[in-house]
Amino acid sequence: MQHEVERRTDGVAVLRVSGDVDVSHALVLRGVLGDLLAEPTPRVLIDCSEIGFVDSAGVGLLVTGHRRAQEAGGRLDLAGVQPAVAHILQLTRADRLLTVHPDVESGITALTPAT
Amino acid sequence: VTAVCLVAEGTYPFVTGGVSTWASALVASLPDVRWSVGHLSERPAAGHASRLPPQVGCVVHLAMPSSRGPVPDHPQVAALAARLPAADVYHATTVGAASAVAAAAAAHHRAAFVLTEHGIASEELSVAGGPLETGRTAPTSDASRTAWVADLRDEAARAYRRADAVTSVSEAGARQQRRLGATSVEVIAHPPPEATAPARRIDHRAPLVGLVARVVPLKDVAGFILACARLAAGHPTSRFLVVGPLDADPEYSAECAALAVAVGLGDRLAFTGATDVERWWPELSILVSTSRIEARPFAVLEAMQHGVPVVATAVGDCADMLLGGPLPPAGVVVPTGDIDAVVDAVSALLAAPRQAAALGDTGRARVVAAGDAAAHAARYRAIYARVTTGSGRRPMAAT
Repeated sequence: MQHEVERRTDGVAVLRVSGDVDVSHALVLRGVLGDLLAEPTPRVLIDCSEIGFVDSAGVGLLVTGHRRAQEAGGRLDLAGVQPAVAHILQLTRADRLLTVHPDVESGITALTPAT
Repeated sequence: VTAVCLVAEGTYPFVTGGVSTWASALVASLPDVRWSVGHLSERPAAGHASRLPPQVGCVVHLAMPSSRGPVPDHPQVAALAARLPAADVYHATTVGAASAVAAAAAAHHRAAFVLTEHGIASEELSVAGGPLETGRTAPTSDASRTAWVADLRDEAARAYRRADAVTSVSEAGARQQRRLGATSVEVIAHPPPEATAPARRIDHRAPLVGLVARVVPLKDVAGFILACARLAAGHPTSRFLVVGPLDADPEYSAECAALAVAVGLGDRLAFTGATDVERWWPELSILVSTSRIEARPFAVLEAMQHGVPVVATAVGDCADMLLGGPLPPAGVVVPTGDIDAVVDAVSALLAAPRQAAALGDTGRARVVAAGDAAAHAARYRAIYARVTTGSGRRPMAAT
């Protein structure tokens, strides 16, 4: 798994993740999300277009991150989720909680506060 | 009378888990041995999680330098080993700091070095990065973790060369030990601890599906919770329980708690935290083990002993424990990480309580057939006799 963080001037942080989000990489992702969600009113968009697989540890991280963002008055959304990952989110019912945007652009628009 | 010093990192006698359960049983079953314990950890633990019998003469806390890698360097190992009491045998319970210190103490005292492994530390670390039962967690970067895994594999090969006897609690562990360089491994599969639980009192109208484990990623508690969320919909009266301490990985425990709420389990799933596991066996309808890696898990063994049917992932010796040999099955084995398969297997057992009860009955029979604590202790007694009389000794290799 590889990741890259883009902190945009509009306040949205885009976390691009590629590879598998599984227990083997959960510690790394936990640390990255922890930093992003520690900011006041975090707005985090995870670009999932290059994620091939998410296991239970990954689902747990996404759901917990979503909850933490909400508790801080912010948001954590997903973008570009591929069918295999969408299927896992559906099976685990995480799709009921997480907001998924078709692509990064529409996700950024949704997370950018109206001026 | 032989003097044996158990050298344990992070586990016995302060931290509950498989190693502590095994060590407690071993010490209790060999009362004529003069026992001492060297406990390696970064800070002294408070109290004794395992009650110590009178044959344990002393417990020495060996404070390790923190975050320097999984194995202390040579001067540190020598300094730690020098603090251990004199013994005929230094018996390490894990590869890493414990094996290095036990081997050094054995060389210093011209004593024997015995190594028993439960989980294989390097392989567990490569799966999830920790925390291991020793308390160790690798650094979060992939590169650092790879280095830790390599260090532990090197230490395993070194320990196997230096040891007068290498044992494993599982066939699966022994295979890994051989892959990592052990030339001679004796498998001593442990019996379940003595049971004191009362007769089962299952509520068939509200079945209780449980996972018994430390709440850490290696046990895939999140996978269990996701399976429970789907089971809850199909079995509206079912309840779910995670039995085990939450403090081994507090962040992961918090993630699991949040996940349970998020997937709508609400008060249908509870976490006991640290508890007397024994009290829960009579109430569990099914034990689920979603572990990603195991040796010979006590939870599965204890479930079988108490007549609780098991759904377990195909890790370690689980398939052999539940399905192997001439007796009928005691549970269902599913592929690792396959939540669908867990849901299907548990769902089938919830729908067929008689079949589930039959699996539980077979579990009891399998445990009885597997031997008792006395036979287990006799194997270790024979090893201690062999390595201290010289017939099993080899010249110590250079470090």
